[in-house]
Amino acid sequence: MRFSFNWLAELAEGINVSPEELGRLITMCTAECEGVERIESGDSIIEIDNKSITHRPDLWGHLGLAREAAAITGGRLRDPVRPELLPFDAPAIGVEVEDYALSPRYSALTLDNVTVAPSPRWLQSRLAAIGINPINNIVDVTNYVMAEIAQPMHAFDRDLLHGRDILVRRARAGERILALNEEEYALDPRDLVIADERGAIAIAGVIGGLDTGIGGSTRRLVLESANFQASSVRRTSSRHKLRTDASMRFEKAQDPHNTVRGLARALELLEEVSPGIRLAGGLADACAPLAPPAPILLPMDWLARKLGRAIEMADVVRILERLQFGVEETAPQVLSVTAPSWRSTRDISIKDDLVEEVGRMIGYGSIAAKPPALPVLPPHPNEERLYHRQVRTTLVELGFTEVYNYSFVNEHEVRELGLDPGDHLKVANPISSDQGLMRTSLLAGIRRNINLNSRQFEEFRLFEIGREIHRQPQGLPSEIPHLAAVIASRGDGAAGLMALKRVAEHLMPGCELTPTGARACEHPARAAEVHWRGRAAGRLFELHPSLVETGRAAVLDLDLAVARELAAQATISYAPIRRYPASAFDLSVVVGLRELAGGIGKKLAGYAAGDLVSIEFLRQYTGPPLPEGSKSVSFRLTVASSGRTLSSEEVSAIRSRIIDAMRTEGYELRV
Amino acid sequence: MARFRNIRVAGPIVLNAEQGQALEQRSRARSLPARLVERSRIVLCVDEKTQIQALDRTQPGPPLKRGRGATITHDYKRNGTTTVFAALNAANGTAISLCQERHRHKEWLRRFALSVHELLKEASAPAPDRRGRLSPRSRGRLIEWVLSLAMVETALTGLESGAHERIRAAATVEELERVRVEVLGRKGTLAEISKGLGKLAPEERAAAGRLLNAVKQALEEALEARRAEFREAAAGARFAAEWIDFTLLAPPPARGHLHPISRIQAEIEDVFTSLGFTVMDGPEVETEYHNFDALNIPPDHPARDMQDTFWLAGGSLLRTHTSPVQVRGMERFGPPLRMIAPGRVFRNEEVDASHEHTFYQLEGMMVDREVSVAHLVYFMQTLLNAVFKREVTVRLRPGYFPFVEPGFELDIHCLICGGRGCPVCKQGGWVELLPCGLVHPNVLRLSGIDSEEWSGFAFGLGLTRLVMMRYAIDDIRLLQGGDLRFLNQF
Repeated sequence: MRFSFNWLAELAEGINVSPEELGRLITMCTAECEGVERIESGDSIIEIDNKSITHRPDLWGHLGLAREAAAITGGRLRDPVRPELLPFDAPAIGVEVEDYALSPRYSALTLDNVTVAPSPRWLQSRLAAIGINPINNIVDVTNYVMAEIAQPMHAFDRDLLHGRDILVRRARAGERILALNEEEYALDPRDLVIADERGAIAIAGVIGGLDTGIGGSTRRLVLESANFQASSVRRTSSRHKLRTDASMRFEKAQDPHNTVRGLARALELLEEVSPGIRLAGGLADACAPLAPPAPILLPMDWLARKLGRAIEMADVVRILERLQFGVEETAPQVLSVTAPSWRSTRDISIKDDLVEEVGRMIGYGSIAAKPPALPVLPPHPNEERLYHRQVRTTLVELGFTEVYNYSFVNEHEVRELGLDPGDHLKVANPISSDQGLMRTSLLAGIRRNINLNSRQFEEFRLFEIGREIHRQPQGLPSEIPHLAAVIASRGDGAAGLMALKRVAEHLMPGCELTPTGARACEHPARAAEVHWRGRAAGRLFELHPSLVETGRAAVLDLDLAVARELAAQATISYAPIRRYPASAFDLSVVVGLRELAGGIGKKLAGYAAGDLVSIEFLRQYTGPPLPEGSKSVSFRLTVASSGRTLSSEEVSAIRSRIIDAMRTEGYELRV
Repeated sequence: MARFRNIRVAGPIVLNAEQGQALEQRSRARSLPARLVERSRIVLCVDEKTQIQALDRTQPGPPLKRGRGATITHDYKRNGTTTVFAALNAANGTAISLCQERHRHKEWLRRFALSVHELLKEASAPAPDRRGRLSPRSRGRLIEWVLSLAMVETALTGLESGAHERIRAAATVEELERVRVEVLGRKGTLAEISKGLGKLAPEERAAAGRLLNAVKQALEEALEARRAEFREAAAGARFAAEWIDFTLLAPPPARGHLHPISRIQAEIEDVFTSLGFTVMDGPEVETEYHNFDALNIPPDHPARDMQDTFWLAGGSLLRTHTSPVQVRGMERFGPPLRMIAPGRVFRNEEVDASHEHTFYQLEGMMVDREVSVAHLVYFMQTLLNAVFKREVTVRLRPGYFPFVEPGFELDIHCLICGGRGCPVCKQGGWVELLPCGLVHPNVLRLSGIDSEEWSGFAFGLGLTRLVMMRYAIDDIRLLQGGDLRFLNQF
């Protein structure tokens, strides 16, 4: 929002500061000034961040900001509006409001003997300075009043209206309007329109109709100054993607008292820019009863506690009165404060709102930092975060670099991974179709990372911790934290898989891999489930080679929610250190090529039973003298007794027992 | 020589087992010639050791390890037998020793007795044979003296100094071991001397024994010290050979890299945790209620424009800020509450170097009794000092956020110029850092907290922005681009 410094200085007399200083003061006391710019006409433009005045309908006009400037600097506010100009005659046009909730007030004046011409230079340059294009004297006056007192106005050509009355009503289904911007809008009953006998002549609070607008031949005017419900205007404006100067102001909840003030101000200006113009009839004013703002009780001690500093009541009174609040001491050290109408539509309703008024005017810089007296309470632990941090640290130590990927994926890449796009939560308004789905797996992003980095690196390790988002039949989706760790290399990928198995063991000591059928995105013969403490916690697999541009990529995909739960089960309890020496012997079992070494080890361990201290895989061997299609798998078993040293005969007996048991099962042992 | 004044009898002795006995009997039978007694300043101990076995292990014992509970003992290798001939001139400590592979009369005579003879010629002038040499037969007649304490003393002193000399001079461990065997061995010189102690007078025997032990201990210590020298020298040489070039590349994998956001986030979490703040998480897909309504942003409120929202099929949305976690925190824990919620948030914005649709925020909230603006300033000041690891100057100015009242924008003095004005702060000296404020009573009420009894403050820190400030990152897209050339820098 652009403000003219000269305009402000006209309204706030005696503000003896430079435009830059005023910008700084406004920033510190009212709203964020984004910059001050000197322009050719000798004026300066003060640019205020729109977001910082979202709550202040009054600051969308110069008068509002001038009021702030006067209050800050001690200047005197001059109200440009002369309400006494309004006529008391019977109105020459009827106004009927269908629903006062949607349009609390609709005021209009009718004027004759209009001359449509370009505005005088001062008016044109003032509008141009704040970024409004001058059009003609009539339209420029409506815009000027809007820019001055924040009341949007509209002028209809009286001769182009049909019938005697103006009707404020909901649009009819299928109703259409050609607007001033020469676009046609299809309306529905959610939209509020201004209508004559024949149909809609304006979208209420948003834009006027082209057919009834002011033109060179306009002789008679209907000047509209109305108040519309903020949310209705906002809905209509966003539904039609049509944001206008008017709709931007109405959606901030404008002051209904301002409609007639706008007419009075416009009347004065029209007499200047369209000489000979004269009123036809009196003021048409359809108005719901305006409830006076409720007074707010403001106890001084409460205010001081909120601010964290002492403040004199006289100062509070002075500050509020400068901002044109009504102030009265109704009890000792308790003020009854009434907000002005332009602040009470939405902005000020409770005493906390007054804390801000007083605080910003005494200056927040005057509040010294003060340590609170708080109970010492340890924070609630966040086990999940702590666990994720551990996982991150472990992976970084093992050589993995952390990546962050977007939560968005697209249909194409989801299909390529063999997932069903239909299972994904859809973004209703994606930035691009490329980002239309929420990820149900980290793999899509990880795959992009692999293909990007394999152009630069022969071998690399990376990981991501992120949430999978799974649609639920109802309610919010479930968000499951996952780890995806990758080892990508130019080799055949087997080494990467084994290295990742070690990573899994680092994270989940004692976890086991169970070979399993591969999913579509996995290497058909290289996929396993990771089991830990009796539950599946994730998968270890090679990404299907067709999905990787260069080399191979081994992936460990863990459900961190499950892993954390299982990790929490770990309890450490001491077992006495064995006091008697252990003995070791090696056993080699000859099996088929695809028989799992882990299974054989388990069998051996099972038969060794209580005597076993440890079993260690030594090697496997294929080749002569073994028959084709078989391999020899060797283990070293260490056995001991907790109570004494085993004699060599006892060790032999254990060994024979295991061999016999294995042979009984049909295994061939190389002894 | 003063100590020899009280010598009763002195003379050489032959401590050969059989011959010695025989000689001793003879010496008792006859008195010693007076001439000899007077001149007996020499003690000569002569001994021969036969069949010394040089043994060695056939191979070193393997070390203990898993699966081998006990040492395997290997056979000894015999290196044959040798004979050591040794004599000691106890008067001056000169040791005469000789190691011979064979033990025959010839060896004794040729290599050893000759030397003895030279020594004794002056002392006793025994009758040599015609050829002027000691004959085997003359051996017995030669020495007919009796042992005395003084002689033992002399012998030991001589032995000791001689042995020390040899220990010092030993050039190898093997040489040192030979000295040990010859002097301290079971059949070494010292052992032989100690055998002879039995022939001393009983009153002299104890003193001689003590002396002998002292000498033995001193020699053992000297041997051990010398051995240690050898060990150290050997180790030193071995270690010197084990030189390593530390500038070579260590084997992979090298350490990986934490994402800069994770890094800063953890840092900040720790700061807050240390001040009693709970770290909370909330869902990334939120309800409209938690993201907006419960934060005093009702439907159709223009404040919703501040945050372009991604809507999801079914009416939920991607949270536009971490503020909904405030609501979840209040719902879950109630007051009093100190919490932060770092996390990923989404805004429907076109992406360029300074705009992202996905970025990270850190929401903070404290709810307690009587929380004031002054407390907020105190906390912000304290926390930001910790976050930036330096004293930062903060200021509050009005800012509008529907979930706080009053609401502030918090600025800090530009960290580049310290507030004097520079291009980074656009000459203003201040940098906008975070929005904050006292929690709006409606927000407390909506979460079931009595806003008359409780109050609070809340703030939102742009984590992504902080990371970019910290590492001078000029393109926000790098953070989620997955490019290791970028990520490996952290």
